[in-house]
Amino acid sequence: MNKKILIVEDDQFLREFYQELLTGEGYTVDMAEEGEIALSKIQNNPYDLVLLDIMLPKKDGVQILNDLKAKGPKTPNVIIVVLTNLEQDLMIKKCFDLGAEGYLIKSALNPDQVLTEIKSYLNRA
Amino acid sequence: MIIIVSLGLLAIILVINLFYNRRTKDLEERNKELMVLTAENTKAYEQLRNTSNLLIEANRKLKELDIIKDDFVSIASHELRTPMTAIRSYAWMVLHRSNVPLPDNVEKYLVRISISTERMINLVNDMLNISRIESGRIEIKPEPVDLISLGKDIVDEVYYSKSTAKNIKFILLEEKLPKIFADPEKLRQVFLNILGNALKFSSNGGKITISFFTDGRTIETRIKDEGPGLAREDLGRLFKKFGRLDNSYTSVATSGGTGLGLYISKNLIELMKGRIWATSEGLGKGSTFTFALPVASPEVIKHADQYFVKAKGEAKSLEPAAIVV
Repeated sequence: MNKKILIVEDDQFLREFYQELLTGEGYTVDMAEEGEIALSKIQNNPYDLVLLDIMLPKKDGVQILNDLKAKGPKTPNVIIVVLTNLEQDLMIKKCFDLGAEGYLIKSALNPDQVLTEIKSYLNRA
Repeated sequence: MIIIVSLGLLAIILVINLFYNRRTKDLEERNKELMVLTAENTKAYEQLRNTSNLLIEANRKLKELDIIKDDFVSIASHELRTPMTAIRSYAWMVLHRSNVPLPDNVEKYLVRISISTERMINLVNDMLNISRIESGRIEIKPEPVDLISLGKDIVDEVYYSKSTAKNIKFILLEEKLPKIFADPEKLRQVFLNILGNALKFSSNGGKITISFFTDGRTIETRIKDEGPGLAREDLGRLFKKFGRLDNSYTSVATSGGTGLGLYISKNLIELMKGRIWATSEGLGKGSTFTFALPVASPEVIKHADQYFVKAKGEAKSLEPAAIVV
């Protein structure tokens, strides 16, 4: 029941904000601030959902999606939702092609809307 | 006798010689002039070629700079949005997740922080859109569009997200209409912008009416509000960049508007071979914004390629339109 979520976000304030927001909703939350740690966490922990930023130090979100496609995550049906401020058609298409199930724009959504989206992705699973 | 003839011949030869000498001198002189001219010409040609090369090089550099500028705008806006998102998120956290009740003034301050941050995000989005429009990165892919169903969708979206607080009544006058030939994404942006403006300038309990008119060649979509209206002399200024009218509403600070929405709308409508304008019976009497777009008639479909606009370089989509109450 207690769903596990990984937040991959390099901006400390935003990372801790999402952590507080999701912990407040009763989720178990883990965090990664750069791409390599994020990838190894996804490959070694059974997350239900990953919130993935695109612009990240060491390994960006697209490379993470690429690697996951090749090697696979720990949980095969983990839901990857991109949460970024990058908004380009090409990028969105690329992420969906690489297996992301959602693409959320941080600046276009208020926290309530982010929560609603996350709940709906988790209910779909 | 012979001597006389000889002298005569000699005289003739001398005269001829003199004459030729002069011609030769003339020719030599002209030859010299020509050589100078040729040298000058060669020099001019070389200069021209140099200038031409310089221009080619300058042009190449400008194109490079244009790409750098585009990338810069793109990255800068991304970088700007991250801290702005954080400000808005934490203000939201205090407003919605506070474990102590907030004093009224603190709540007011936080709401103002949120509105101002929202405004900055909208401004960044609008400036990105303008940069894309002005550098020709926007493409137009028209298709037959049903205005009534699009209008209903947009009213629903605006209604549920924003208008409940003001209790605004939307009226959409349905009628049988042919489809128009327009790019749905761009049309949506314009529709949202105009409807958002109508909402912004409506007072509580106001009414917004959407009606359609067609002469068979174009369809006019008219969005009428009961807001503060427009003075005749201001009608032309509305669609310019930052053409917002200071006297049209009391407090700029409480509005999340950017002053760029109508400029963007005008550009998009014109890219789709349409027209947009505003009318008002005067201050205090509401205003009507109308955009006219071509009907997707067989004739228009036949020449559909004239309605497509290709992007220069990589095509970019639009940032979302801001709807602000």
